Amino acid sequence: MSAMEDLQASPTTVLWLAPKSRLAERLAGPFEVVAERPAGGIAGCVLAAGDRAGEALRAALADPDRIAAVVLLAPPAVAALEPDLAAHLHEIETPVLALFGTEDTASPPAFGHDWRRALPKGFQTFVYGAGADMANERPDAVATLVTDFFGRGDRFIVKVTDGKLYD
Amino acid sequence: MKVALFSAARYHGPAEDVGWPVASTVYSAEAAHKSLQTALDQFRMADELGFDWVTVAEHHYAPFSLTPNPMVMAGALTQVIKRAKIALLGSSIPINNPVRVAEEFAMLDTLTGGRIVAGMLRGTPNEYVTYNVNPSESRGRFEEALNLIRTAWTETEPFGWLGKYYEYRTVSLWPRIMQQPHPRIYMSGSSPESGEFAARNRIGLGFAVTNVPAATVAANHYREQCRRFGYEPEPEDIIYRVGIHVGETDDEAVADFQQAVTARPGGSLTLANRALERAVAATGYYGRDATVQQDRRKGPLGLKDQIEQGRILLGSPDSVLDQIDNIRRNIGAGVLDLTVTHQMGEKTIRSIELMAEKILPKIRGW
Repeated sequence: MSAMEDLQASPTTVLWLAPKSRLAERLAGPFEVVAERPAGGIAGCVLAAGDRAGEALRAALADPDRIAAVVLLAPPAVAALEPDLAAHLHEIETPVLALFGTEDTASPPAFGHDWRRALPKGFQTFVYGAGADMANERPDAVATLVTDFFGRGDRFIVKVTDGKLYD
Repeated sequence: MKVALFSAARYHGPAEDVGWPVASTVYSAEAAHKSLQTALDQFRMADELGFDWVTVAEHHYAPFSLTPNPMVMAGALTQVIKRAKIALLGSSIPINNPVRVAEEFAMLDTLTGGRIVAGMLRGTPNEYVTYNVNPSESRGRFEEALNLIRTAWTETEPFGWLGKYYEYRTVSLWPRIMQQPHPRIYMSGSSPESGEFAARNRIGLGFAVTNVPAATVAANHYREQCRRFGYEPEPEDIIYRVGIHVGETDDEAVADFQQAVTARPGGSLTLANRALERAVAATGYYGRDATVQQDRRKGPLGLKDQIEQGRILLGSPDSVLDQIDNIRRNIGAGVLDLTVTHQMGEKTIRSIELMAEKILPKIRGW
């Protein structure tokens, strides 16, 4: 069973490499959120904030069959990664979504471009009106997107929610 | 100073032109066809006579304008206008799909070889009724849509947008915008909020349906805000749109104008529907100086007062030059967007010729 199929079969674990936030509270419903990588690796998804992006990507490299998706909140520039990790980004087959707040000057949306190019299944999304702390500034919007990405991986670009107004 | 010729492509034919929206039960398809053709002809003439820009705008549901989608009109103009820039002043972005707007601008910019001016407006209050958008969301939608459009123009890798009013999982424009990094952007700038937003985002301001005293206050506010945000606006960052009719003499111009213009009750599309106006005002649409913003739309004044306040340019070429000088000195506008009184046939043509012969050469160096 692939990681994606496994994910849809049962509630999944999210390895939380980020501070506690309003976003974490919202994801604690649909997911089991854990702060430590279990011995023997993790089956599930990973969310990492800021400089912890490297840890998340190393986990994806280490457990390619068991990590379904990775979300990075305001990651640093690709050029700022440790060289041994940067050299292997093109090997990561896991869908990775990098989120940037449009008001963030430390990790600005412009960083997304290189992430998108470096990762085979890399996506960038700009969170309007938020800074680096998008997990507290726009928790509902980010939770909806992240839940969808964790559940559907690179199929998340296809809208499946209802657009019809009335019967 | 740069000079643009603006036409809303008014419909000239039988109509029951009262209130807003206006019914089209009394309507002539032939007249509509001819009206759009007249507008294209006048734009072509402006291009040939040396106007710097030709301007189209978005207005809905009334014979006041036959360009509800100015992008379509601009598309036609790409095949007519050989030299001048084509200015969209503008697209009403809060009521449209912003990604679609970004794509349309990119197409037009590519078709013209980089001669598009990108006005993005909130539109007049009645426009919110057109596509069933809550006017209280106008500013929020506007600011987000503008940010999104600029991002779509400049980011070359596909991106998603998690907005407050708009969400896209992936966006990637083809064709790209031709001017780099993007065409000059303008927004409507009569309210203090607009001046602040424009300064913060380093974009130009356009003034329309206003007067010189009000626009002077707004332009000074904009410059002050620009200083605050470390932006040095150029004269071309300020546009003043005003109606114009030029005759050989003052008397002739005034007489012809009075004969041609039958004032619309209430003076504006929004004010033509009092219930709509009150409902829009109640949503907070007008912002923190609501009274000023509502008052500047109110008419009608006597012709003399209108000329004095710079609500219209009217008279002989020399008189109109004085009136333009007043705009330049007070507002510091670097672009004049001239609305021709375009239903006057030969007299309209002569008015445009007089602008080109006697006015444009003089103000070009201002």
